[in-house]
Amino acid sequence: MNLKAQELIDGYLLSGKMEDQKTIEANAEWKDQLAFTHTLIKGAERQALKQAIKKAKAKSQKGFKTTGLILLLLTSLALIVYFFSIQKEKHAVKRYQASTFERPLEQEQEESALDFTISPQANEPQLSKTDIKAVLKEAQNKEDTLTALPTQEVQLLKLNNQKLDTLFGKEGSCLIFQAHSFGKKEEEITLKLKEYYSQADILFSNLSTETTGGDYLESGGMLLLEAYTASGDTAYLTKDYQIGFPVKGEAKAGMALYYGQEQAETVKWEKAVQEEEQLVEDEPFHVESEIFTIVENMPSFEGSSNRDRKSLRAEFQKRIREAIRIPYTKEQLPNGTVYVSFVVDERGIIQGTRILRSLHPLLDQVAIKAIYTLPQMIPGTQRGKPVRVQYTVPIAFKGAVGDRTYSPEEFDAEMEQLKKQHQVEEAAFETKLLDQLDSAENNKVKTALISHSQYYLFGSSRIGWMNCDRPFPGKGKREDIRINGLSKGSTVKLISYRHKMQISRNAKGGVLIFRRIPNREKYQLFSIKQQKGKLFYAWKAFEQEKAVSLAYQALTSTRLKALKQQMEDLEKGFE
Amino acid sequence: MKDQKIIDYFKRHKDSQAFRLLLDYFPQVESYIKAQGGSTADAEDLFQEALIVLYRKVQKEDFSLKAKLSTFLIAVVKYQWWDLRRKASKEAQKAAKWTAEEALLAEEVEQLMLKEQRYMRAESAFEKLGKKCQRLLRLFYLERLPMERIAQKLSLRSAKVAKNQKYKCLKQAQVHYQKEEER
Repeated sequence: MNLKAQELIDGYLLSGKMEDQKTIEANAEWKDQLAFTHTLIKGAERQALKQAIKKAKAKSQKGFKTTGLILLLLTSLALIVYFFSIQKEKHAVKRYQASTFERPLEQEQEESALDFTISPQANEPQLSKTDIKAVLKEAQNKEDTLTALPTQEVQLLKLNNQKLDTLFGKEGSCLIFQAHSFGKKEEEITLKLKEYYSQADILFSNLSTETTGGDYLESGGMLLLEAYTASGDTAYLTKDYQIGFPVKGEAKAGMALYYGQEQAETVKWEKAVQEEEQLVEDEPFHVESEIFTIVENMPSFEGSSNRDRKSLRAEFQKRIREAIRIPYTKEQLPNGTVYVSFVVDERGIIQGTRILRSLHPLLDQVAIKAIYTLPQMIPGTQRGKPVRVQYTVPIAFKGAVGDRTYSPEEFDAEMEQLKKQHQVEEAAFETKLLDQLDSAENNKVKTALISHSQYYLFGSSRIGWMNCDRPFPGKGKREDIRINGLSKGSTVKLISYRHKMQISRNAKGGVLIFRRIPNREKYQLFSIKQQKGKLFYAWKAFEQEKAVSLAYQALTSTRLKALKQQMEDLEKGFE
Repeated sequence: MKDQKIIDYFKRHKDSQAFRLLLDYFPQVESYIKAQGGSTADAEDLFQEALIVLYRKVQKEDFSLKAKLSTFLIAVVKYQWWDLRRKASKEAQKAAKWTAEEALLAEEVEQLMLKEQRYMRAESAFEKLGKKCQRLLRLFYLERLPMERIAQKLSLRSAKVAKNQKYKCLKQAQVHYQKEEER
């Protein structure tokens, strides 16, 4: 152990240099030192925490005695702070100050007359050549400037409230409701769904990815869900349900469910908290023969200590990979993925094994056999009770070839043996629970997609605005961005394409400030304003340290279409 | 809603403010411990630990709230009390009475407490160090100041001296810690 090694460890601990982790862990002595240093930091932290608790105690005790005085002080303090914050706003650092664009009205109108001339301004994100042609061609068919933005399409979905039912939105949002999710009486529920996945959808709906507390978020998709009974009344949710947001591009760690609250003209988000009072107690949560997809404790294998979904997935992958053996065949086997679904019952026995998406008859059988060889598991539990849990595993085959030493006869014999073992279970399962899986059966292919690698899945106890988010992981020091010379009432959005984030602000005066924005990210500014009832927009890449001037153009439906296309292309580049 | 407020305070590193709101739960803890034959001082100690463990939980990256904070605090207190009694008398103690909500947390609480007990030993090892050593390590690891600033603050000749000193302090702490572990 030496000074150099300690430096490496400190660097890893304090600035999270992940590349150092392997180097450290490869050396047993260093690894111990890392563990000790970590523990010591936590120990030292205890001192600080005790101080903080002591401080809190002192304050609350004092608080009782001098509440009146403190109240008085607080009010005056608040006034002073308010006064200063106004002053500060006035004198805010003019570092990012955008050049003012005091355009007289005539000029604006001139712009609208120029309608589709695409000025080759460097400040606008560039259209590809084909796009330009298409836009110009369409532009010749003269069109009027839009007066309002189109609203997002409403999808109407029918839910069978008497059964476990799975519904999908057009963008792939997945909703899994247990039987009687909206009370026992209702037969059919109409769900109204609006989905917002692309930057453009979020942008033109004036949505924002900001929490009620003012923190910025990266979104993995948002939606608005409303429920109505057959008679058209609002339907009330009485059970938790599961909601899946399809993973677009690469899966991102730390995504969580956020509920939205409509505020002013936008929606602000708050992380979902499992509130006890929202679980209906008079109706037992666990109903015999109900099948869950998400439970508090997922099933696990004997000997594995973690019961979360992630480690379960890893464990399944490992065990299945070990169990897979392909018998000898002359056939060329395809590359691809077989989706196998099964249920781990209350005793931990795997049953109801079925192929959800087939790849090749032989590989399907190989996959099923691999599942059959899995040992009995520790069942999943919900509220302390063991329950049935449905699980889907994707099994990928690439360059698979038959094993010369493993004859098809041997494979068949083994399969026969395993089938016999499972026969009793499978038969009982089929008759008893087949109707439970009916709805899944109808959506065979779609259901195959509800694997945990392709969805961000959450349990939810509410409907309304929902958002799959994580805190905005933008890099760099946080600095304020100031934009000047706006006309009152215009909306400005700060957009990050790398991490789907959009912050929306309405200009109350000529100045807008985006507070505490990480400065090592690339952003774009998009603004919409209304002039004489017509809509104008401006869009440009934001460059730090440079003056920002927004050049507005009339927004027509053709233009809107082209913009959406452009944004989609840009977004694809980041997925 | 109150829970969310507390969590927000923690996330924004306003720990004192979060603790202040959490102090409201102390009477609940006190009455439980007294009913079990403990004193107010016992309750205060256990409650302080529960607050620290809660802080750790909230700081975790994958933190999500599965139960009310008050439920979590009570669960930690119950676990500690049960653990203390178990260690005091060798006969097997009856398991603490957990409500269904608390029982769901039991496993997590146990994990967190086992870790926290290690941190407690590290804390006493840390406290055995000289005042200057403690300050140096605090400035470096908790306040994350660069060595140059630390050298200035502690009036050491250079960053290099501070670095060497820090290493020595750490080694010393390790000796103390190992003694704690052996006890």
